[in-house]
Amino acid sequence: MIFSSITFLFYFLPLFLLLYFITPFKNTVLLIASLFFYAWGEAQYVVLMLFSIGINFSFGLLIDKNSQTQTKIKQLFILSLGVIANLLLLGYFKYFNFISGDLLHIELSEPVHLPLGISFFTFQAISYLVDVYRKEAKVEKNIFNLALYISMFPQLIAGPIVRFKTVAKQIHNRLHTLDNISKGMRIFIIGLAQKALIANTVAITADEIFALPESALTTAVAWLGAFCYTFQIYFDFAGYSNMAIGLGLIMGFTFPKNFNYPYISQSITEFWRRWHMSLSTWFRDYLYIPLGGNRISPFRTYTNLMLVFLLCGLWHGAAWTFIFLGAYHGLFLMLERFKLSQLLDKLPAIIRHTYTLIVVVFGWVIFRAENLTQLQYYSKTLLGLGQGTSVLETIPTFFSHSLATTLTFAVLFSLPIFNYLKTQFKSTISNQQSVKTLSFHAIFEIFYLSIFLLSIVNIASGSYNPFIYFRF
Amino acid sequence: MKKFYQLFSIVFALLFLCLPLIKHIYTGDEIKSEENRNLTQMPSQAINLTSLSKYTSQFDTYLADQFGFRDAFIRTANRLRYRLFNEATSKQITMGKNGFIFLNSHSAKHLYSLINNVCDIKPLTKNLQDDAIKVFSKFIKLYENQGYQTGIAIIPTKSRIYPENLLNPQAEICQANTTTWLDKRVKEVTGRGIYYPLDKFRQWKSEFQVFLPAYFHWNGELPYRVAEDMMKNYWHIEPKLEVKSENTSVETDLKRFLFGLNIHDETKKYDYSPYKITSCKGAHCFKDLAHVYKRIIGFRYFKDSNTHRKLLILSDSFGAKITPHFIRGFDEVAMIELNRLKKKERLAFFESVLTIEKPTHFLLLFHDGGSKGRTLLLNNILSKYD
Repeated sequence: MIFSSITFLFYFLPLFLLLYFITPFKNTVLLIASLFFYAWGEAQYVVLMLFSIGINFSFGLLIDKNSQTQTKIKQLFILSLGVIANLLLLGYFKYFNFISGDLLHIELSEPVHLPLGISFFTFQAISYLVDVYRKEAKVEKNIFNLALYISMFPQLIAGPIVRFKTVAKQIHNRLHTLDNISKGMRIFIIGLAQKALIANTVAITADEIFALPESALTTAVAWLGAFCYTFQIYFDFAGYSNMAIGLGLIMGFTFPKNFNYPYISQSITEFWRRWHMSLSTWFRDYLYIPLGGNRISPFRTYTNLMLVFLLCGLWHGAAWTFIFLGAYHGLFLMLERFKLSQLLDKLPAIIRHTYTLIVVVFGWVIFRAENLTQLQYYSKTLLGLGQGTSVLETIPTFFSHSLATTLTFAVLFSLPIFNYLKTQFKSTISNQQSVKTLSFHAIFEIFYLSIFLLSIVNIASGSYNPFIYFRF
Repeated sequence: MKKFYQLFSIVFALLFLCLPLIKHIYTGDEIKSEENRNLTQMPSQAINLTSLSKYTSQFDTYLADQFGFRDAFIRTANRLRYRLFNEATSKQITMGKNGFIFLNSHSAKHLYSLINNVCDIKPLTKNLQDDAIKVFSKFIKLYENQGYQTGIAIIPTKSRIYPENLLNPQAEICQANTTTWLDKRVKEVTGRGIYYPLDKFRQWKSEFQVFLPAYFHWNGELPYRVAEDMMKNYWHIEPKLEVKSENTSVETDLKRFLFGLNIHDETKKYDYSPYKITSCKGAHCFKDLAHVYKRIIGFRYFKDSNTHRKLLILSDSFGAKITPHFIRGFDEVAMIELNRLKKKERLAFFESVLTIEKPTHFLLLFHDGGSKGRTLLLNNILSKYD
């Protein structure tokens, strides 16, 4: 079940909110709803999630118990076992097909199915164990509370990756205020609009262009496809994160921000500080810094950077293209750390920005490519070295009025314009009850409700499937 | 006041989310929709854990078809898209220039296939072209030998006549490809040959609106003129009746794709009421054929005259509008649409239809986008006569 589906919006969400707010057993309702939400998509893997909850609960208790009585080494050993258990789960379900097929060339009679959200809930579980070990979080002694943390439906299948210490207190005790509900609802609406109005629209064109054979792909069309995909992945992912953050806030949870206008970055280093922040900080805190961070020799720092980004690429998916993506971003981060940043600092902002965008857009082509063959010909075409010609698949074929409008909004909303306007507005408010202030509040509410309605209408119309002749 | 706004927005949004569920519970499931298909019904219950995943996915499809106010949402979305962008929600529709609307494909899986086929953007392979010419000749010869005056009519569609109203790149290509494979090779069909009025349509374009802007099929004056022209020049029959016409407004036949939009065209309506013509529409007019064609659609027109001519038309969806006009030259005209004829019914149907209907004249009529389909159909049916 995805947030932008009819099932979620018109059935699951209203029923859940009704039950959640009328019953006093909010955690129970949330836990049952989360397991139901997961079971809807992956019924047979609920057991796997329960197993993950069980082992992490046990390892958490063991780490905590040994922190008081045993040596550090034994505690570290238990932590390692816990992390390995999580990684084995992830490794088997996510990478078994890749290892056996692409690396060992063994044909599997039945490929291993990748359970929904396993990358997210495994990383959350690891962060829990490490935080308990580091004493940055208190061990959770109630298995239902830990189950709620791991399975909580808003962030279960697409993040953000929430640390246990961030929500531990809120799991036990949280406030449900009108301000939080209202703010949460707005963030949810923004996310829904990002997904339904922008990502879904540009996705159609991106899909059509990436489906073109090499012989029909021209340079201009390839760039249009790459730009559409660049906006699709951002608004899809950021939209989903915002919906999760908004839903969390409605229920009184504060989830971390996951995107901070990544496309305004002026370097790849800055890009990764703004893109999927919960993942990059996870890798920073649980891998890069433990490996030595910046406080070691330059050679080891570069090696660690590359290693972290190779793993980051691999986290996104089990395919050569993802490994290549990790190496690609790792390489630019290494270059920037070496000398490139100093050089970029001397250049005008527009050039720094252009450099970053080109690297990022090309990176998304790596991400989107079905395989290395497609990556090869698509890249060649982007560089003007492709052989493709087509009389049909030209820019006018894809560039409709709706796409042009959506791309314009995509560019605008990739910039912090809306935040700027809100800040400007707040700074001009002198009197909370003035007509001007109240009008602004009304305008904002109308704006949110309008884009909410538009998004809902857009999603609902997705089920429209007409036939010119009657189908039985 | 700020709290009031917040509360208002929350209540409004929640209400908006709840209404489809409330309506669904209150009104129950619907069966038919404006989309010309049956809506998905509630799936039967899952038996075990493995089938549960499949069940939930079927349930998603069911809810997507049945949620409350679905029609209102779709109507709003279609209207917004049309007014804001002059686009249709369905990708099978091309909103062209000057108010022209084109059906670009019969299937969402093969967008633009209809235009690409008829404008030779993606022409039939040489082998298929050869097959088409051969099988059309064979069809005419076979049934002529059986005593029926047999013909084939291929009707050029809108993108051939009004290519300038398409969008680019189709507009440019269709305008440049003035002669397609069909235009060149249609004369190779032997016997009576094929009635293919492309040049006439182009000539008539300066006289009247050949195809209505918002219509996929033909309507009004065009089928009237074609029927007259065919009778005179293809079968050498002089039409007897003089028919008056009046202007009328018709809703687009693409309304399934433009649900919620009120798009009409002006056209001519022909008045046959002064003549004693009886008609019969539907499967019950073809009871004797029900055993070989279960979901038959067809029309019959009878006139009290003694020309001793009966025309049987087997057609695609273009047959309906031209059929009544043939009554001007025949005592009886029967038209059967082949669109619902199943593959396994084909042979038995073709073997029975002529012996049961006993026409004097036999016409196979289809639009130019259907050349490939008809070639395959006829190949399938006539292969036993090799």
